[in-house]
Amino acid sequence: MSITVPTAATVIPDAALAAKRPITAATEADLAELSHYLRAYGRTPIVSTVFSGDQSAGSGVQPYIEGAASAAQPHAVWCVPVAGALWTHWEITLLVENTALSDAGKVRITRASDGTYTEITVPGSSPQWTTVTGALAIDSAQSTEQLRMAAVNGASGVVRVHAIEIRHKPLASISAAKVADPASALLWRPADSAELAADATLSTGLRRRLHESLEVLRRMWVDSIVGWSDATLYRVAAYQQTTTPYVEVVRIPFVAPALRRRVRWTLYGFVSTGTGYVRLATGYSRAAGIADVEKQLAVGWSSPFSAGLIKYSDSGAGAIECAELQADELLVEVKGTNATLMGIVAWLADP
Amino acid sequence: MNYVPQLIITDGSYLRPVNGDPALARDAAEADRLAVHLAAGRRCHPALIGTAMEAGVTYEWRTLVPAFTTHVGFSLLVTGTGAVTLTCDGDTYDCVVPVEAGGSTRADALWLHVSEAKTVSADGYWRCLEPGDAAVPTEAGFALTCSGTVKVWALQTRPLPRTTALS
Repeated sequence: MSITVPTAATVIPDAALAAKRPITAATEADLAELSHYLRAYGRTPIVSTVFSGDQSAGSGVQPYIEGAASAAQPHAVWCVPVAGALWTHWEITLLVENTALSDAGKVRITRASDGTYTEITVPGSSPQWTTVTGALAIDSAQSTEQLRMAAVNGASGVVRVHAIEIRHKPLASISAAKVADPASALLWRPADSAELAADATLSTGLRRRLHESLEVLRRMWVDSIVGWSDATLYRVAAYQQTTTPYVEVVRIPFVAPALRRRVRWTLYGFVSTGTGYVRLATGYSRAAGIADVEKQLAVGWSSPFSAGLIKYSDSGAGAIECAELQADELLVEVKGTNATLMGIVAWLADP
Repeated sequence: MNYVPQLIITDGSYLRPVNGDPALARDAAEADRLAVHLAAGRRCHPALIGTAMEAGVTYEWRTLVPAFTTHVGFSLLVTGTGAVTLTCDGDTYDCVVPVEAGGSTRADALWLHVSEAKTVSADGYWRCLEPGDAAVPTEAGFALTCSGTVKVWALQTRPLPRTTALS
């Protein structure tokens, strides 16, 4: 088995695919290799957060969270969709700072399902907005995963995390087994170079197989509307209300790509006492008269914050319908005593 | 395919070459359409929300910009009076959005949009940033500062549809 993975997308000119025109083995190979390229390089941001309002950072405006002596308590939490077995790792990009002269600090990203973590080193004397990167293995048996971030100071100085972005990526791009999309049972299958040789007859099966592989990639990609976490040790929470009627705290405009007509979501939140609720809708779902999704918030907010997690369930009151290929909005409202939204991840899926 | 299609066929049964026939372009066009939709189409990009960004400090973030992106636009949820300045590490010049929204709370905030794909040779224009055109997704760094009483309550990065043919 031998597959070719180009390092950039090859654009096939319109003229090469004009009606009834025989296409060459070279064009055929370009087409097949696009599915290899898209798996290897076509990734989408899932989490994107700029931090602020951390209690450790003192008063005033401090656009970062500060590290602690240990990783015992997460500084940020997200519950993210697992992109699928075609991708093996979360790719993590951080903008950090370390005030220590020489002592290195670190940022630990942990997956809550089994405690596996990766630690990304922050060298001493790193000025603000230094880019550091890392990767954490995906457990593709999960449908969603709680990711926890903890900044850990070195022997001296303070580690600060300004921003984070998390995406899915494959570990190796040149070796690839077939993978099924669990939702549709469609298969992504690589094209062997020998199948595309100049004297090989292209069969109906091969052409449809290529198309199916592309469709699996489309279904498994994550189109993220938001991937945000507040500082778990907040000084002033970003979205906190104390009211009886619902108050809108988040409204995010988005345009869903073709065939994406459902918003899946996870969120963290709480009320300090009594009973509180969170309500989610889209502009489309309200206009269409579809009932909002309403969930009760947990009471209290304590590490590791899993008790505050609420997420969609396709079998229950779950994903929210949205419009494809036109302007729509995601609406989040809360009510209750100190009803607080601490994080939200929302992404688009096929119905 | 030299342009990104909006509409795609995702059911392979529409592809009807007959076993043993020579490969014809008509059969490949739909597969190419789907591939280009994935390679160069504009996907949803996660919005930056949370505690408001305000004057006095610089906010930076890095994000993956899709392949074949020449211009990146923004939507900003703002209050106050002053300006928002955006920069990108692939662009020599900045983008300045004057703000006359008034108010100081999220409930007062208004959306402003940066959508003009204009190439400039000086700072100070209300225009999209150019992170650098590439045939692969590329990580780009962005920075935001506010002046006056402006607060930015949410920011959406919007890689724009390409204005020239793919090549």
